[in-house]
Amino acid sequence: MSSIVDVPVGPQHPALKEPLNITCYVDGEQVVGAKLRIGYNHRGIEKAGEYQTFIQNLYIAERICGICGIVHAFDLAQATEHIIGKEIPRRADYLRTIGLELNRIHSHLLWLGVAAHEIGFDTLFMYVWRDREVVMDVIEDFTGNRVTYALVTIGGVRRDLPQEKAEKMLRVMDALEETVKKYKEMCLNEKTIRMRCDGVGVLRKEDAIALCAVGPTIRASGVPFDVRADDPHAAYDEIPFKVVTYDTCDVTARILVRIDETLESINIVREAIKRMPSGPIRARLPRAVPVGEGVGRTEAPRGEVIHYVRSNGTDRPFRWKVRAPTLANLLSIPVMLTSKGDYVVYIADVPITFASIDPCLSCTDRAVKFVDVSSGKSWVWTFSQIKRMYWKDKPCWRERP
Amino acid sequence: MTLEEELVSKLKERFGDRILEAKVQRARRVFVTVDRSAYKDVIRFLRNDVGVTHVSTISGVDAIDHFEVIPHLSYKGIVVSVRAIVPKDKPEIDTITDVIPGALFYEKEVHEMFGIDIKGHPDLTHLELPDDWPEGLYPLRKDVKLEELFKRITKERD
Amino acid sequence: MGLVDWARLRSPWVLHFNTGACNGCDIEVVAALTPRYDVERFGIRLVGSPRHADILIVTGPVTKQVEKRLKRVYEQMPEPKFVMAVGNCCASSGAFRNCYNVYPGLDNVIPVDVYVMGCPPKPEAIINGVVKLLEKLKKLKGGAS
Repeated sequence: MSSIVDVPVGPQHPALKEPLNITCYVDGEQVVGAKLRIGYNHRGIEKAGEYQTFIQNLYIAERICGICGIVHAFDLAQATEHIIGKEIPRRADYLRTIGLELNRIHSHLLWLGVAAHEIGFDTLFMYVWRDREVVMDVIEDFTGNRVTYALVTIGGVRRDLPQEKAEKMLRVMDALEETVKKYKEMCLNEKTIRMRCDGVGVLRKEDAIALCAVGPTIRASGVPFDVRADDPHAAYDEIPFKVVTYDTCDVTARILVRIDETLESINIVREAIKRMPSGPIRARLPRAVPVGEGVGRTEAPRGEVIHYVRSNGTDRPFRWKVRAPTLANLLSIPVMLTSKGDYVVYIADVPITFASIDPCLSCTDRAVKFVDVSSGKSWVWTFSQIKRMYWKDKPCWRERP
Repeated sequence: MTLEEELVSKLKERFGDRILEAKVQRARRVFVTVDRSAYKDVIRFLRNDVGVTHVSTISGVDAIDHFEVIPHLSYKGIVVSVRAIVPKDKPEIDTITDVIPGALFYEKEVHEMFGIDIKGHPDLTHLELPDDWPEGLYPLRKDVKLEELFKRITKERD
Repeated sequence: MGLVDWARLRSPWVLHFNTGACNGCDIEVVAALTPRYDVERFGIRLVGSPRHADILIVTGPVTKQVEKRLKRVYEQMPEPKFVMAVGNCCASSGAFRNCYNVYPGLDNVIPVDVYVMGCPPKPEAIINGVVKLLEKLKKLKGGAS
């Protein structure tokens, strides 16, 4: 077994500008190990939170992640409401549910486009993002903004859903369902997609559980862990839905989990509109939160999000801890990228494997440092370079049965 | 008896007065406070005897006169938060990564933000803080003021 | 106006750089490339290397970790080059003004030509920002020659 020699890359590669550094150890074309260095996105939000009021923190929470911002605002509100100990109006629960599910739909479609891009399918990327725009329209109609909704507040929601908007939403959901079903068929039957994704990025069930993976990543490994079902909040206790799992543990499974979840979310939105009770949308809760602690939790598109809040009787949190789902799933990347026995990982599999956990980091190109364990040489390739080298003009760079 | 109450009674039965406090805040929210010496045993018990496999995150808290390390575990939808009291004059605690490997990143974060040594952790290098962050500066400690941290960025703030 | 200037005016190539953003602005920048908004019909193209770019589109509050890399990317761009700051975070650290690891504005790190405000700005606003930048370029070149 050759020793792993880490040779410095030299002057900073311009493409190494990402919030994340990936190093892959290779032996020829096979990837035998991987290491991650995160942290370029660290802003210091938890510290800032102690100097701002709960209401101000709702706004910064929403900007922890622009794609799924509402889940962070929801968790902060939920944890705070638990401390205060008052129930919020039922209509607010339903409106929050609609916000959360619309967010899931847009996020999964966004991801589908990005995943298509990572396996060299730019046309599919364009189609999906075009179709996603109708969801952005509906979100803007409901909340007032396409991204960062400012919908959730402590005690309820800030905007109501009038009848005409609800009806428009239902029409859009119906049309969208047809479109998403077509994408599902495409992903199941398109040979190139299957060749590039089947058996790639495998995360076995035992590893997923031991590493505490969350979201579609763990559900694609056969584990039915979904916070909406396990720890019902908002209106999830009254709206029936399926927890989607697949058991092939690979990238294809993760694609199918997200597509099926999008279809489930469309149904949840329909049911929420149908069953929505009338009533106020917000309870006036005290600004100064009594002494106590609370845990807010929900299922973001990427997986479980958890917030812990401790209050000391003032209008500012004494402590606010946030754990976004990507941090939980990053631990699984080195495992997915390590060849072991029959399971072989090739360099060409790296971009899509990484993208399959739906990392909540920038959508731009990523640079990977490669270290060859036999020669000790190291070099840097970006994801787009890898794709150009391996996918260009070829359906699949290696033969597969 | 609800599942939450069952869990609390199992813990009290097994650990007696090493459990300093255990309460069910509401449905699916259990908060347990333990002495630091019982911390690892409690986690091991929850993992091996009760079957808790998922740690959602670990919160570090600077509670002025002591630190707290709180892993939030998930069991059948219940969030069990196990609070270990860590004295400030000797800020260290055992790792739980040998019991639940998924705790790896969360313990790194507690270490870099509060300066609590995690004994037995395989790799306590920085998780989120940059490589050139000054040694001994733990941002989330209460005695570290925001203004002090800002000085790293610019000489004067508006 | 020379041929190169005409080409640059008609077809600016853009490099997108995220300096610790929440991704809100990033997805709106990418959305601007997709069929609904389709900036490619204006000749705007996203490139992967600073050496090919005319315009640097920056999102996010500049975190301390990313500062060196951002400066290096800026230095590697050939002249004339322009910088577009997209989002409130670039203009003034936006929502993150109490965060200890971010600069209070992109112009503390590199010079900025156009600020596109919003949190995040809509794709239409981003396209508008690029158009304003092109007008600025036109005035610059028109005046000089």
